[in-house]
Amino acid sequence: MSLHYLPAITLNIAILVLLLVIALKRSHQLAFYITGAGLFIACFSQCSLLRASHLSELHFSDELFSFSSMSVVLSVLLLGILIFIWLQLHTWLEKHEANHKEEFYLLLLLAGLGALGMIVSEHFASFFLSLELMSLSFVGLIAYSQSQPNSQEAGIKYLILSAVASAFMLMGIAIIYLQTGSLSFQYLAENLNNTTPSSMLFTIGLIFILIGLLFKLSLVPCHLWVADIFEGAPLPSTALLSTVSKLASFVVLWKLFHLGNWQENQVVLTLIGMVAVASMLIGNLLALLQNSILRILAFSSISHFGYLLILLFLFNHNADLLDNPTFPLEALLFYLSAYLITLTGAFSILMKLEEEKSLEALTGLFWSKPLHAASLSIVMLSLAGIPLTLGFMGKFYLVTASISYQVIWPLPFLVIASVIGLFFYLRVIMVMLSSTQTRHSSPSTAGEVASLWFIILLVMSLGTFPALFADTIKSVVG
Amino acid sequence: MIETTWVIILSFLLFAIGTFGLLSRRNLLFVLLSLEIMLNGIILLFVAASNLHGNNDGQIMYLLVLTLAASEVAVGLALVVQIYKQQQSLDVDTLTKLRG
Repeated sequence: MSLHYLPAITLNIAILVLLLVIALKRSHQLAFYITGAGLFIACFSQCSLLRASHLSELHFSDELFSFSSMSVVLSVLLLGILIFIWLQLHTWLEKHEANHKEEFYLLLLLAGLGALGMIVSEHFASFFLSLELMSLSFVGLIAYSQSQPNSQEAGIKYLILSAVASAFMLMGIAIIYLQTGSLSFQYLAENLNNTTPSSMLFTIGLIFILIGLLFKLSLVPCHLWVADIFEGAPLPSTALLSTVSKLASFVVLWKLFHLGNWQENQVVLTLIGMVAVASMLIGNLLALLQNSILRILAFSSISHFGYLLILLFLFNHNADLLDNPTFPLEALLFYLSAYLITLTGAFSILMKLEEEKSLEALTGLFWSKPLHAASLSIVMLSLAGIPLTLGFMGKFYLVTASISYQVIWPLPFLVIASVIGLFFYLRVIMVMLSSTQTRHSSPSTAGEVASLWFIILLVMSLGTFPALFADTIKSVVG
Repeated sequence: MIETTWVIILSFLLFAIGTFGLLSRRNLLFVLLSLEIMLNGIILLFVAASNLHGNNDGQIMYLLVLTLAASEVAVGLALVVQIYKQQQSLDVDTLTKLRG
């Protein structure tokens, strides 16, 4: 048994203990601490793995899972996001849920376990099981709130659509299995290059799998669900859905793109190109029309993953001006972590505000709660990609990578989409600045202030001095 | 012994019937049933492919997909009961309060 499984085993133990505790004695405090202990031990063991051994020794694979320095870093990022959301969960649940608070932690841990499994999966069976573990827990998380009727509608919508997506994905897996007789990613990577004569069927299988993943990432042809669910679901579930689930799905998409020689499969490349351009433009254009901050974040996440799709074109590409074969991977890690950190920050600020759903509720926030408003504006600027923030560095990396690989054609679309994006990100800030009669506001606690400062400092300092972060990523990838 | 081609065609047909049912049916229960038909089509394809290649991976996938179908229906029916209690109707069209 390898040490690599330790984080997943820890989460498993935490889930089992939590189940027993809930069965014996309901206590919100206890459930909170058990979840925290599980997450912290898992994160710590993952970090110690990174620290203890030499980076090249991190590679370990067996039939179902494979670990590398990349997967370890992504798992640390995932567990970090989970811990950050967990920290705010206690106050939020106390305020918004009347009874049955404990199961939320259970579902959070299960979804985290599923995402952790997806990141390291190396076989279609393990990928599929982890994916379903994650999606079914998300159905529970979305439909959690009993007081809100919208929550259940969002839950059933997510259940049916994610079931259709996984049915399509399974159909793709079945077609590929019919073609090759194997379910392992490794086997596919070795045997894809000598393309089979009837590769038409194979392409169809790949497209089926891509449709499923595009749904999970809410990219353009399959994006209609995302705004409804962002609006209907409880806020922490939305935060988890837009960070944890998308991180795990994107990692799987990236892994599939590493198999074999994709540059020769023109059909798939054209499809991905169209999806990328459409997501960038449509995501930002639809966000212009929205009146709810959650819907704005939902549509902006569509366009952000559209930007990220550009990076998939750079793998296995020949032209490389910088002569640095790992640069696309660095750019991918940087952009992904920059975006996810910023988005987690945005959601945790929203979780601290009482009335968060509509844009009008934020009017004059600068005068009633200056710190909240300042941190929210910095997060919005980072999402828009303004210099001195984390989001700018991510975009800078992305553009540099695609220029150095001479994949120029998506860049004009990226620029246009970013300019459109500025309109609605700045609109949020404008609304907060506009003055109204001052509302009485409850004083913020020390923990709230500390976490707001933490978000501001993280986004600003990593954006101003990105060298430390970039070097870490470089050493991990290289 | 049935030829594999026929099994494959049957499984694609089942998948198509399920997809059609999912798109055309308005009742939530029938939507869930159509999903089951889709999954059954996939299961059949896995078993056929496993028979064709002579390895057992497909049959293990069959067990996994079966488990998925069961748990999906369990979660889905629980939600359907909740929604029926609230709205006294299972029509998909009446369930659209969330619109932007």
